[in-house]
Amino acid sequence: MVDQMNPAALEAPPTPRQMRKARAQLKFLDGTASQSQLIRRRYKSNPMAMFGLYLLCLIYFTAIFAGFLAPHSASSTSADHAYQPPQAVHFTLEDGFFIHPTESSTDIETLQRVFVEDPDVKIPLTFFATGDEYQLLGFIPADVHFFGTVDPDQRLYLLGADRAGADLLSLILYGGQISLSLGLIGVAVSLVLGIVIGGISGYFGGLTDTIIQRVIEFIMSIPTLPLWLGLAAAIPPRWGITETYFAITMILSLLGWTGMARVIRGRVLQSRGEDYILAAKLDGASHGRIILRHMMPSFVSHIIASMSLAVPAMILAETSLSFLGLGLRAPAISWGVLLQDSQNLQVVANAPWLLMPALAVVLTVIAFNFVGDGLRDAADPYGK
Amino acid sequence: MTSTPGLSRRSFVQLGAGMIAGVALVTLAGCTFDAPAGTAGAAGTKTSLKEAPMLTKLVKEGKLPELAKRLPAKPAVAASFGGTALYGGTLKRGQLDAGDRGVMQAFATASFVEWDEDNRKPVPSLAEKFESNDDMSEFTMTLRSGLKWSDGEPYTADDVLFVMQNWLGNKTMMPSAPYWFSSADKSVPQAEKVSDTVIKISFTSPTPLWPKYLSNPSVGGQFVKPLHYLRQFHPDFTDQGTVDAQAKAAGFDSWDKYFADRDNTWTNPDVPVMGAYRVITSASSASGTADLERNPYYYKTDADGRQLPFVDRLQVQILAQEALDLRAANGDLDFQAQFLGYNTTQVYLQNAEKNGFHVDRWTPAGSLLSLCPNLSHKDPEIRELFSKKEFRGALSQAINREAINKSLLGGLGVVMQPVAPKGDEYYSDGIGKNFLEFDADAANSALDELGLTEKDSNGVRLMNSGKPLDFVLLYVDATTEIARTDAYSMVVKDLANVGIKLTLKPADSTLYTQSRTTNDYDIDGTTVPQTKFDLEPVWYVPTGGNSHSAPAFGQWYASAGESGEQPSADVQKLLDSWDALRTATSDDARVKAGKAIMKQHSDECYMIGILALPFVPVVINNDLLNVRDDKPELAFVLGRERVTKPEQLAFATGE
Repeated sequence: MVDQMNPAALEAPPTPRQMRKARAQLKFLDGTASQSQLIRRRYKSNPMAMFGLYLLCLIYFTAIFAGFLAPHSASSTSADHAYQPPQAVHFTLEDGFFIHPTESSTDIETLQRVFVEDPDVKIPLTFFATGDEYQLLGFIPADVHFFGTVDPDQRLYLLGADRAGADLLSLILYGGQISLSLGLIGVAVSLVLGIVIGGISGYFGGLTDTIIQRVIEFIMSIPTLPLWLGLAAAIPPRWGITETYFAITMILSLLGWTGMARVIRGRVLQSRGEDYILAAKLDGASHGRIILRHMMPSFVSHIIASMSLAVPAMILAETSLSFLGLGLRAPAISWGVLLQDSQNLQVVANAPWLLMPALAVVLTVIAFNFVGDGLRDAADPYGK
Repeated sequence: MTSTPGLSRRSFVQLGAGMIAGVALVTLAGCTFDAPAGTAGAAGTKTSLKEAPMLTKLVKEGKLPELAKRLPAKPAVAASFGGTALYGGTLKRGQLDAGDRGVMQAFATASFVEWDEDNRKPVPSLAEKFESNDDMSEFTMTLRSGLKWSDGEPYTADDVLFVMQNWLGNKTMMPSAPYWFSSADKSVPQAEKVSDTVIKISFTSPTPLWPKYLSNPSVGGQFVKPLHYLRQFHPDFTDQGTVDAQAKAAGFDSWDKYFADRDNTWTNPDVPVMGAYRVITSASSASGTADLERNPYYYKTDADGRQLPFVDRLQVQILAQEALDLRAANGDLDFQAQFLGYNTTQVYLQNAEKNGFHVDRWTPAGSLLSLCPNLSHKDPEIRELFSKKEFRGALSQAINREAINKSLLGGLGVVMQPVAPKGDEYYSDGIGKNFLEFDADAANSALDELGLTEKDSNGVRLMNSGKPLDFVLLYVDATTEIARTDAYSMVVKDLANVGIKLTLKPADSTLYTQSRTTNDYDIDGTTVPQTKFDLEPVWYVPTGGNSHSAPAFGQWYASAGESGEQPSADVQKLLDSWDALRTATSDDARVKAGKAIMKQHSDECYMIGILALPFVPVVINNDLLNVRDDKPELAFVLGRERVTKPEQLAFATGE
């Protein structure tokens, strides 16, 4: 009878993906799933964390492919479009996407920039438009842009223009390249140094611990301002602003790992006397395995929390050393620089669209925090 | 533009308040001061007062001598830029840095001589007469008799002698006198007291510029110091041990630093002054606000013999740039020109009408953004290149100034080269026009003719030695006027078109100054003042190591050949003209030498001008009267806001 037939027999045989899923499911049920599988499952079950992850991927995607996504190159400006407000994109079936050109003039009485749109002329827009040249991924020469004007000499300002007539959307996309990389490398370096040195110090104790701790105290006692002043004078003048900033963040992170090392040392000291560590030692586990495998899980949530807080702090601190000539400044482009430039009354009152980079920073910070929060929860898959 | 209503709510309220205040005052006056009965209306009574009501009250209480005893026998009469005025009120201002003494220079300077109304020549001020001998090497000054310090002590020739001998002549405080204090051979002038009010000051060489230097408030103000107060801090008058001990107790390394601190009228409320205002609370206090009050012994009156100043008090807040801009836009600053950003003018204008102020447009001085190639460059090959007129001209012609103007100033800016402008005494017809037009082809062919034809793979021209034309532009970034990085970025693109690579290096001001004084830079990016260049010659003539165009040559000149490097023939010609100017024995000879310097700059294009502001905004409360409206120049050497003689400013409503 058709009714009594096994329904499974009617379905297609299971795909490899379904089989993998089923096997994994089985592992969770019989308790043989590995730690990383547990962490992954726990992480995936957190919708906010997943959202943060997707958002972060999207943000990094736009930064990596900034040249392709941006309508213009970061250095191209147009004197006629300084403080051009965001342009509205029109669409009709016969013309496709288009914008109207604007004519700017400055009112001598009010000093206001007046932009007059010419509704009779249409500047056609297209996907995969040819425009300014750029280097995709830093080495592939290209001139195709995701969206732009058909005529490469025309200008498109979806988010408006800055005071020199550069396209803000392009600036934000290019700015992400620096904001999302340089500072974060510094954070990563000090994290790695902190874990390794702090771990060694706490794990071995004794003379090693004493020496490392005295070195840490010495480094912590170096006054930072004279150090920065010295660096400002020592850095060769032909170094560009981004190189300078990168060198400074590296030097700062070479000095900034001490706080993290202290915390790690304390946690390692604390768990060193626990029975499970003794058991691992008796089993003949190596020092590295004991530190990374047996001790690390107990304080990984702390590391993740402090790192996810350090990242946004780094983005916002990009410009903080500018007064010494060490931080990021124009003509370098980063979100911090764009925000710094928009912090004046003229922009807030008359060009509010220039505050848009703040939105990029907020989104990034939120994404990092969601991811960090999810990772922290997932790092302890047996917790509630 | 919307039409102005006949009487806005705000002005109605102000008018009402003013009338109430006026009535209250008159009532008060009637009760306490025996005001002559039966005078015309309120204003009539008040505008006939000869001194401020707050001082009359002190006189009645016996705390202050009467007006006639406070004023000198012949008071100085201040130029007036308006009509009758009332006494009273507090004028509010802001500034960025607590240590900045601009307010004192603008509002509270007293000096022997000061600029006349047209800001062209010095006229006597504290001095009643200021005369020179025929070759301008000896000056005889007659002080007004009866001048008094703000604490009532007499101001006499002894105070002048004190400055000339114990301050200027003191080797600890003045190890080497700057050129504006000294003769051509660097010796300090000698002073001789002829009588209690007459002083003779003699230089070893003609010094035609000295009266002009004295008229600059920041220089002239330094020559007025109270002997009776400062003697306790000076080892010539007080035992050295006591002086050192005082300095130590106050936390200073040496007595001269403590002396300078006590002598600072902006930070030390105790020091007596001769200017219109004295500080009551200094800005370094916790509140971040400086309060200044009128000097009851001020030596100036208006044409009717009414003692100045009209405004009772000044209040100066220390603010960040954004806060200062906001306060100006809100109408919270009564009279402000310095520190306002040109780029915020639009916001001031938008808020002016509803917040009861107006925005005047004064003439900028020193806003011309320029490039100064280092003529004394360390690298001999670059020095030789920079010393060629054709090369500097090519740099200049390669710059598309109109595009920068259109982009950054909406086309309102002024494109010019740094030379004296029309109207200045050193201007001559036809200067300042060289290499000003954008002409990339001409620039390219000029560079080709210089033999810079080889190019590297990036299209950058190579020098004979094979090094690329790759220069670093050193500057301090600023955005309140012409946004420098934006402007220079456009110059970078323009120069790249003719095969010259320029790298921008925005630096903090310490590093910037240090690089310049150690001759360690390629091209300096700065703004250049244009009028009255003789008061700050260092821009046009390398007179010291702080020169923008040739620090090593300047060092040589300042040290008389002991350090630095011997100037090139070109620069030596400038220095010779400068020596002729500063030791000229007649005005004609002086102006001729100055014109020669300007002509040489115009011909040789040592500095490459880019763009200057069309005006500087000045925010003025609608209630504030007597601000001159003829677009004066806002210049440091004129004391900035001092050009409108702030002692005669007054509020329409008085109190």
